[in-house]
Amino acid sequence: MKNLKNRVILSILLLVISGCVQEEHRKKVTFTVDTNAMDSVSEVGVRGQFTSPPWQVTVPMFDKDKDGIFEVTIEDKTAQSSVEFKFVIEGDQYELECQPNRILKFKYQPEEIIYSGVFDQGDGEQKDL
Amino acid sequence: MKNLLQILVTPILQQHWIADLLFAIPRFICGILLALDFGASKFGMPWTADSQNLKLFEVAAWFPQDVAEYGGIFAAMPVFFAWMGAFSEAVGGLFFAFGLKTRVAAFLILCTMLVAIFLQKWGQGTWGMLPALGFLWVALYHLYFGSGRFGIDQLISKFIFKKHTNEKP
Repeated sequence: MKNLKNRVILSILLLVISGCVQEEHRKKVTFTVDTNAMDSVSEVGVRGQFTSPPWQVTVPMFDKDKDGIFEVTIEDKTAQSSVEFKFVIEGDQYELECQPNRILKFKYQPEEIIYSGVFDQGDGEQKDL
Repeated sequence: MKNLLQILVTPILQQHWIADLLFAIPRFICGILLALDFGASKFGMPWTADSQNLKLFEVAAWFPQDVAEYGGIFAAMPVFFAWMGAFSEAVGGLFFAFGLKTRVAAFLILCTMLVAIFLQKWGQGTWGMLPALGFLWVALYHLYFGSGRFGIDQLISKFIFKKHTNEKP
């Protein structure tokens, strides 16, 4: 009887604890970067806190219409309120050297966001869709 | 049950109050650091920053994922261990700082820091392990001594259990 009581208490405790994890929301973020001010850029990408391991992986960006504006869309679930990143060229050459990282700010809800920036110019624009 | 509680709460006092104070200072600082910084960044407390989006007693979403990577029993019950670890730091740290149920809080912190040292920080070298090691040592001797003169346990022991605490010979 005592064993049963202990098991019930343990089960309730486990249930309560398992319900106490922060909810994650889906984020769909489209990054665009204008590289027209740069000379002959072939590879453009984005690096940030959202890769595994953070800042070590380049997410490649593509310029399908050859207008010098590279683009990539990333989807993930997160509960974070912000994420830092920078654009890179030729694999690992960071923009904004010795300057703060770019920041995407999230609301605590599912979101679809477009972030537009110009390579090596700090003021990007974040738009919610 | 009352006897067990009494044993857990009753502190061992040093001969001179200065010795108790010297033990209490690092305990208070470590407890506050755990509660306000290390714990509150992954566990919902009233003082957790709004930007963390954590409800009261809710564990941050990334922490169970982190804990699951330790493997073994941690991979089997990541939410349980993440919640217990975060609770030990945030709530245990507060109890530890003010010397309330000091030995229980010290035990929880000790277990959490052992896991942090051996399963999370081991590959990061001595510098990476330093914060966890610091909390481990402070928790270790408070597991034996309890709160000393400067803690709520001493008041409970004196006024509720009406027990004269043992001075260290």
